[in-house]
Amino acid sequence: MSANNPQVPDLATREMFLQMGPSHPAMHGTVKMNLSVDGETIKDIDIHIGYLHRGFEKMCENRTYNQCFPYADRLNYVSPAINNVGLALALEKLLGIEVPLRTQYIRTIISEIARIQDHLTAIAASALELGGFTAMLWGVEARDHYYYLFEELAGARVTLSYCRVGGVAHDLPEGFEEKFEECAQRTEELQADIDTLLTRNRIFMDRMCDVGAVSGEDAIEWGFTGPCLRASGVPYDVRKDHPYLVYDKVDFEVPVGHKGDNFDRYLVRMEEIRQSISIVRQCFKQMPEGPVNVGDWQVTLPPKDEVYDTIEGMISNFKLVFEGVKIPPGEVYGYVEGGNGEVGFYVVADGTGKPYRLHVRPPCFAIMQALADMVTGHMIADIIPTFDSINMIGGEIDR
Amino acid sequence: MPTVTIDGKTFEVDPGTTILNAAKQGGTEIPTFCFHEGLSIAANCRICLVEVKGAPKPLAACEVQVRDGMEVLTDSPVVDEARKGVLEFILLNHPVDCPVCDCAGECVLQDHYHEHSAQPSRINIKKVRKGKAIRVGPRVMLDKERCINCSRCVRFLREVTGSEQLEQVQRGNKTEISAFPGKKLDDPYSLCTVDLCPVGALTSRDFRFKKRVWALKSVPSVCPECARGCTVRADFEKDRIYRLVPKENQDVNKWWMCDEGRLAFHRFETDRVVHPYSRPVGGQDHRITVDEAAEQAAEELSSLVAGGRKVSVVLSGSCSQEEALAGFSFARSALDLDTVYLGCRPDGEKDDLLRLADKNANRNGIAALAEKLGVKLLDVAAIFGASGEGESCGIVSVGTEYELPRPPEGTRVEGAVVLAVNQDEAAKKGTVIFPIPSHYEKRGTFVNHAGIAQQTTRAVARPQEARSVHVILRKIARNMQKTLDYTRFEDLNARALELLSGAEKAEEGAAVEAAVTSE
Repeated sequence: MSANNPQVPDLATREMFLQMGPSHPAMHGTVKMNLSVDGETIKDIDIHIGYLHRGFEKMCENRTYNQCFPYADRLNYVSPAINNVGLALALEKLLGIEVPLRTQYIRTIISEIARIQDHLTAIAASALELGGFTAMLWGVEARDHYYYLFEELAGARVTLSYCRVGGVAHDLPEGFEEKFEECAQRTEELQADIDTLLTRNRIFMDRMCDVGAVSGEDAIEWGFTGPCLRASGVPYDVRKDHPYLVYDKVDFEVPVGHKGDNFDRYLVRMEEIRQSISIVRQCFKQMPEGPVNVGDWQVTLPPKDEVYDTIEGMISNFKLVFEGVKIPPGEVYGYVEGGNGEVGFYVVADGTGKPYRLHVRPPCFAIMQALADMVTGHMIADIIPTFDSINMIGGEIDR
Repeated sequence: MPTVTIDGKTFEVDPGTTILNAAKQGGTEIPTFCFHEGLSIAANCRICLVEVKGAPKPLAACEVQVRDGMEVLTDSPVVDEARKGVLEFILLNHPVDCPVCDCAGECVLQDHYHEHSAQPSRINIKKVRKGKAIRVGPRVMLDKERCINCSRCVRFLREVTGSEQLEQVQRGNKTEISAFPGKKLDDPYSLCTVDLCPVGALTSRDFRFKKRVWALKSVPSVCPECARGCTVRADFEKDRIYRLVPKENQDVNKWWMCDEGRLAFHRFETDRVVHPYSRPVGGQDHRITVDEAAEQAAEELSSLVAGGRKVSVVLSGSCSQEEALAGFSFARSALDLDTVYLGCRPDGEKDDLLRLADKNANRNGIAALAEKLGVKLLDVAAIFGASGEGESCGIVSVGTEYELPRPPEGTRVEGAVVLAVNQDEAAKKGTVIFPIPSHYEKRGTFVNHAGIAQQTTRAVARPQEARSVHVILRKIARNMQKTLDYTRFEDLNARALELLSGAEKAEEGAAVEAAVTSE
């Protein structure tokens, strides 16, 4: 009898081996899956990662701390700003400094905008690969508005490189709050449309519900964090459980799912977008005026007029640019809630201006290892929504 | 023995130790500008101020000797304040020159300011202007504005060389360094003042604007210009040496180095032998490959030997121990000789500080090797002595840089296999010429006049067709159907070190214990 449909009489089948990826329309992020299938049922799956390995960690060892930020951007390139913030926080923890309150608000704001982008992308991609091209266009349109916003902020649309050790590159541009509000309202409209189109859509639900389910215990065992863990019913969120920046000063809910299937992951992401918009709005209300950098010239570049006109500023600028911020010897693990879960930066400093070792804990690495378990026994077509809903990001998993 | 407490750490030091040295023994670095171990103590920069319990004011650590029971703080708010004050004071009249200053990147003032102060300027007044880009001597440029008046250069020229060519003139914020009117800073050690200068006030006219210092890589090396063999650091980038800087070595050169040796690396930049070529007697030069050259050399030597002609091996006095060993091996195994000739550079200027009249890097080492191996080593002047009238003869010259004596009437040099770095007189006498790596393009061991052996490290790449001496000699021997008693550089290196009896294998650039006796 066929495994999935007892009505169909036995056909002469034999186990077949298929290669899916690394270049496959649904394998966004270049992974290869070696499938062993019986008919359309997956018997076994062997996942190969590493196609996007660029040696991020090793490259950082030859760069000053501030030169590592552009590399960090390219980890999870769907929410680069969070990686930026995470690295800055880890380094500042090691340096033993705290950035001014305004900077903390700015970093919270860009983190949450990045989370909105991340979740919009994940949802849009899921819809697309299940044939919902319209929902994809809506999601990507919403995301694009934030790219324009970030372009105004940092000059780059995607990879901001906006954070620095001890602060951010510069203050928010004029009218940033109003522009965010426009984006947020448009996002809410588009999200409502997506909601209408997908959430109670029969086809969508058939593909998503009860597929790729992971129980809470299993998820913890695998090392899940982020939306995938919360979809399995575990309310763990770094922002709530280990508050950093100003997350203890804003009010937000941590949505959780019940079954831990693809549909729950979709619903959790939908709700987190709403929560993130609310967090950003609260931040703009609370944000004080003030400097965006610690004023210490051993950490932050002096203002340009001091650099060009005084020998003091010139020397500090020179030393910071050529030798980097001197971080005292020690090691640190700094972690933030990224788009996919807990993004951790483990840094070993040796007292010079460059990291002795820098390691990243990519959240989707832990999640990706469960993929084989999640889809074995299901159909080939079930790989697509499952792989989408865990939102694997090649840059992050391969580093 | 006085007991001193520095930053809470109590330990004993020798009587008469200064606070600075005591702190160093305890593992604490105190910043300094004007202090230098090789010079008298001036205590004029005040950056080394430390807090001493019971003293009414901070004391200069470089100058004050420890008393029993002294309690010193090197990192207290008082010290911090004092350092910031000193740095602010020094920077008041310092020009904003870092982008165009050769010292930027290795500047002590930059280091100390960034580490110990990093405060913005609190005063906005016109800086005192002084002379810039003054050619104070043939090799040194002076920028009076950058000078922080530490007086290291003045003390060096007064105490170490005795020429007293620089002096501090004027007073207060107009104080500046100057040569005497109408006089130049032309001391043979003048470039040491550039090393001593903690800022970019004195810069080397040779190195100036050639390369930013952070782009340079360094290897330990040995100066090959006289028998002193000063321990140096060769700074290079890509395939070019940019400067030599003396490294502290109390057994050899203390902290210093002469200008002559320091600038002599330029001789390897021009007029090099870059590819092997043959120059038949009375014929035209033509370029050949290394293998062709080895074949031709072997042919010439074999036919001379077969004809019963005398073939001699000449070693240059600037050969390393390894090259000399390869040369000895070739003389014995390929040519059956037990006499080898040594070609040396003529004696030059000498003085009481470092420079020696013997301008050969390794004469002492080669002589010691010959003695240990039982090879008779004669001066190259005697090379034609044994040849009879009217005979032809052959020469294998390992390295050049010496003057080949005129052959007596009737004697003709028929085959001259020359392994040369530069196109010098000896190289021009060759019939087959091989390019070999220059001093900074190879590894090697050198024994100085006092029997101290040091190893050099390869800094830059050799010309593409240059091969090491041991490789060339082995190729020639193979073409003569002879075998030499080594295969690789490491064999020669190990044997060279072994022959320095009792010596451990040396760290590259470090001195091997004096083992070869100096006569």
